[in-house]
Amino acid sequence: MEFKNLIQNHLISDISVYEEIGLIGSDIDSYFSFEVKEGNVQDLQKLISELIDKGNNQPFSVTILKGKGSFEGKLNGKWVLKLITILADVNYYKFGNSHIVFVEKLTDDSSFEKWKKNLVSELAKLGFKNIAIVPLESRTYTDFNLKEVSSVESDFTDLLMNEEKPLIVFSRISSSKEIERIENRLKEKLGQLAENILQLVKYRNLSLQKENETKRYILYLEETVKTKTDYLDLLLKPSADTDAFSELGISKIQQIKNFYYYEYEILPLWFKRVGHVLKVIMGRRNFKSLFDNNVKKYKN
Amino acid sequence: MLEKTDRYDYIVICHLFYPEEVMNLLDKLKALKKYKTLFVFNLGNFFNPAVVEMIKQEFNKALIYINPPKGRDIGAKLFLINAVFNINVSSKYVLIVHDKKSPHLGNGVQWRNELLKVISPLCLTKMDHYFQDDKVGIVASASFIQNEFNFQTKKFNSNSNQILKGLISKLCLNFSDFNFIAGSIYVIRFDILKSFFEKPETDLLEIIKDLEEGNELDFSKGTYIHSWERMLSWIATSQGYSIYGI
Repeated sequence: MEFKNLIQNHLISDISVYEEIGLIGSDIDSYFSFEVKEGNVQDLQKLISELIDKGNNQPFSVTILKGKGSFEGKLNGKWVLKLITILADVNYYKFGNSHIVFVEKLTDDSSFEKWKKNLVSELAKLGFKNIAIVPLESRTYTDFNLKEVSSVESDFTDLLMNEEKPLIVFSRISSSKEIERIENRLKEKLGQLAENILQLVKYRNLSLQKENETKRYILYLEETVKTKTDYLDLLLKPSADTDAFSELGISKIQQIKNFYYYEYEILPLWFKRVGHVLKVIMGRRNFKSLFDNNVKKYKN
Repeated sequence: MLEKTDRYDYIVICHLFYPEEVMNLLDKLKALKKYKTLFVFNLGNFFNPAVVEMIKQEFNKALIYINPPKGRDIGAKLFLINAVFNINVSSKYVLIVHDKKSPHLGNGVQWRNELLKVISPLCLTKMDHYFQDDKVGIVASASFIQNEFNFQTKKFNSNSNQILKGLISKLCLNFSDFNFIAGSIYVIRFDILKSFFEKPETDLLEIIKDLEEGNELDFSKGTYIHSWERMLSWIATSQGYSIYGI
């Protein structure tokens, strides 16, 4: 039985668990989602230091918990600066192109929604445009039991119908034994069902991956084409408007082409030929090159 | 795990955007491995996991980030400066570098090679000598030290003139040496970067927000990206340091 690709099992934990067990890969793609308090700069700093000190190579995400007076008012700039360092970590967990950020939602009040909107908007201004905020309200487990596994079954339908949605099981853990227990429960309960749809999910994940790769490549091509189009626009503009790049010697291209045409190309052919003979006499061109295109033309 | 060291010789802040240029630049960066160096990379969105693995193997303990495409190489460098300040390390020097290609310019490769002279093994051995003078803040290729300021008109000969003046005023900078390194590849003293970005007026969050997205060019209008290309050099000159050209 292969659960990989089927379930993203996020084990939500305090950063201190790292000290005990580190990030352990498992059969069912267990990722840690580290709990950090909203607005608490020290929490994020501690996580950044832990990830670097332990040389983390495993996917991880963050779970934002309600701190004292948080989800209210303006976002703390220093906290956001640390959060983007974590989001940009090469191992940060993404589904498709989206960074998954879990948020503990304890109330339905509008201040939470406002805060969530604020965070998404702030991160978008910093370029992080695909942030998937996943509220934990309905799936915050203090422990893992069969009832919760049953609720996962209904998610399989969702999983097959909705290509954007991973099947995620959350659990808070306090020790490494917990991981083992969760895995065994999942295998026991979902074994048969999972086997039936495993192939379908695999295909779905494969096509999603291909789609993302293609999207990234299109983006790259668009960037490349834009660069060249912009440069062509520059060349086609009157040269007086293109002085910004004069230091690179390219902004005068149109001027040079005009100069060449009016000062040289327009001259009669016999005059140009006399000019070539003069170059030979002045020692700037090889004599042989007047008659043979295969010899070196100029002396430097 | 990072080395337990009080102070690195170099912190390398490197942005990789063009997959086809990766090997070329990484090969050049290997010269820094003989020093106590912390490598910090930012990768564009186009890289596959194999590149990440290759970097990890070649540059042990390198920190790798994937920041969004905001502000071209300048944005990526500012993201990485933020990351470096978040991990509480310090160094004598910081190499700021990217896989410069400038596909729109005929002489882009020549430009890059000239700028990368600063990390040639010979230059690296002489780095302490270049910085011997306490007033030297940046070491870079002399060919691309430029100055666009016209002291008579009090304007920058650049489409970004207005933005530049706005930034200088916003950051409360008062200086007259407007030399900058076109191409933004250079070695700078770590302490200069730190003192600039620790100033209360320097709000890194706002700076990154202002940067344009995608591959914005400044052919027809000023941009924050190209303004910060200049500002990244003025970080040093505005603190009374000079640029040493090699």
